[in-house]
Amino acid sequence: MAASMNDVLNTGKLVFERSSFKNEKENHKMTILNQYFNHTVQLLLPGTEDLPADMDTLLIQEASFLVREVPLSFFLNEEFIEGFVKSGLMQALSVGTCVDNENCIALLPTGVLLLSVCTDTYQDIGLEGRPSEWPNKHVIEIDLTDKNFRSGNKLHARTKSCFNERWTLKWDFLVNWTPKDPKICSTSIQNYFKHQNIVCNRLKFTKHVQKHKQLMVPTFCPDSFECSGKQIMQSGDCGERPCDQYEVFEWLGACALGVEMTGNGVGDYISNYTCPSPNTTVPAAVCASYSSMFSSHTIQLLMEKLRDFMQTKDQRWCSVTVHGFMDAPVAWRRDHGFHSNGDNLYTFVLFQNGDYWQIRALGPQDNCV
Amino acid sequence: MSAPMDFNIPTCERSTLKEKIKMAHRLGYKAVAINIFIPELTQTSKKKKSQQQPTWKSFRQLTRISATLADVQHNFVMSTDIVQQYDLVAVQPTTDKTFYQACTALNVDIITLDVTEKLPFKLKRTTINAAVQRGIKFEFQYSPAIRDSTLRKYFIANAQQFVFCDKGKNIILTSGCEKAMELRGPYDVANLGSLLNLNAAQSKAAVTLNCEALLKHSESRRLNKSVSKVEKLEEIPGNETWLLDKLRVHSSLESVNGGSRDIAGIHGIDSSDEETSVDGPAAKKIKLVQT
Repeated sequence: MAASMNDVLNTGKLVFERSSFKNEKENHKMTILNQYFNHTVQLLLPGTEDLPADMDTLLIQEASFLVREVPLSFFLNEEFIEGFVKSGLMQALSVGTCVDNENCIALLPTGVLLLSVCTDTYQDIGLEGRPSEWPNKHVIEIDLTDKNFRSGNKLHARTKSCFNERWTLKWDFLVNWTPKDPKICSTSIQNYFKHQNIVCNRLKFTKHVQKHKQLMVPTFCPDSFECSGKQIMQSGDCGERPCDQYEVFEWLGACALGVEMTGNGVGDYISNYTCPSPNTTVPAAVCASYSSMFSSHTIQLLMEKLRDFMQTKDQRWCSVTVHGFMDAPVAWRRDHGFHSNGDNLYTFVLFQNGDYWQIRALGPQDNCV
Repeated sequence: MSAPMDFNIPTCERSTLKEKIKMAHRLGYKAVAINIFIPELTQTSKKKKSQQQPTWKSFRQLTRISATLADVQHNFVMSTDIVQQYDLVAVQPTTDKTFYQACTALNVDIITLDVTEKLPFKLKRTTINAAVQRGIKFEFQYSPAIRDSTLRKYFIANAQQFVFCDKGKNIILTSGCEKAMELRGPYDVANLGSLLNLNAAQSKAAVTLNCEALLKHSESRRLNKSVSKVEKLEEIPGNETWLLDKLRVHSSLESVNGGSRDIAGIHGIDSSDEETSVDGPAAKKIKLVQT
């Protein structure tokens, strides 16, 4: 008896937006600032020989730390809340916890301690929360910056007794702090942890730069995207039908992975993917990838540097892709789950005239705003 | 915790078993059950072997026994202590009558449906529902499908037939691997569910949630239909000592009862599929004291 496959698994969504930086109602800032936990940044600059030094320094100097064996009661510390949470953007993410199987802890830069717990744990610990958007999980949000949240307050007492007696597990966290006052160094968080006798080490970042000579890049322009089955610009200064956003996005991904696209395409065994046509050849291009934990503030600065770079150099376009953590419990202010993948990445393709393409790739358990 | 689990790793020679367990841990499974398969049920005294295995934090290794049910008369052996002491008990029925017996009467956790040949009996919705009511799950092994192409056909055919009857709610997918290379990662196995007409949530549940429910079912099977469990005060784990203050029996009542302190240590079992909530008697006691 052969039955047909009725329910095809949904493996994710792709959200495309096209706008301009000069447009006042732009929401590119919202996309960048609302994605708190960023794991990898990939830059592609066609037509440039070397990566600009200021962008490189900005990404290398990101001060993220790995702290080990931290109990949850640590986050309720008055000193910690006053000194770090309220006076800057403090974020922390638990390491090694799978968001679909286990309990995950995240401290958001808005000052909310978010606990994404399994149903069993939720019933055990007794703090008030809400069911998550994704099955079998509950979300408990504790606003640490609330002026009522201090000793004497019922919620504070209940949370404290829960973390001190019932849920005393220790976790490893990735921590990042951006102080409001530019005179304070962001590594003072490391000193604070060391004072509390908690092991705190600078997170090692990985950097991979690939310089290309004679790279084939697809030809496209800000208006050559496809919308509702039709392409907006059939031809134009690009000549024949230019590449649409899907082809460009796929090509960007192939470049980031280092796929060999120089073969003739058809007969190769490993991969027969080639650069989509129409395409041009640029004499040089640089592809760089940085992995660490980046705060949304750093990404915002990077974006501004990229815009300056586009204006000073004669670049047709450049792109930056930012990947979020697959196991973060929150993405773009909504609950993030992991069904079979936990993608939450976004790509900006910046054009010379200030236009941009914003492409967001989400997993099956993600809702974008 | 809906962690992925693999409940069928057949026991074999020491080094191969070690390889399989290491592979399961690397692939991301949080619990495995090592299976001892008995082809015929006879009155032998099989003592449960406790084997020294590689251990990791948060990786449980359970024991399981499976048997084929050929004849209805011999199945009383399944209720003996020797069999029931294993963590998981599984049966593989081969005829209509044994299938009916397994679903309605036998004290088991898992019913394995054979993937090596066409199902010898017809699946009836009423029988399957009876098993579902009792918390028994139906198992399909995917390793035979990896080994051979004819077995692949039967695996898909039998599983789809079952899903058609049962609407895909009480299935677990396990490996039944003979070598470490036949194990697949939990997310891959969950994707296999789409071939069997399970939807996305059901396929993931086949590897995670249903296995979790099965563990609770096996605990209740070993405790023999209980609603509460009595523990000594000294043995209560550290993070539950706050319960003692809340449940302390009033001093006058204590002297009346002769100071039997064990009563104050009533500990509730986590609610499983078929048991009702435990807090009834304890909650009533608290009310009496506080009024």
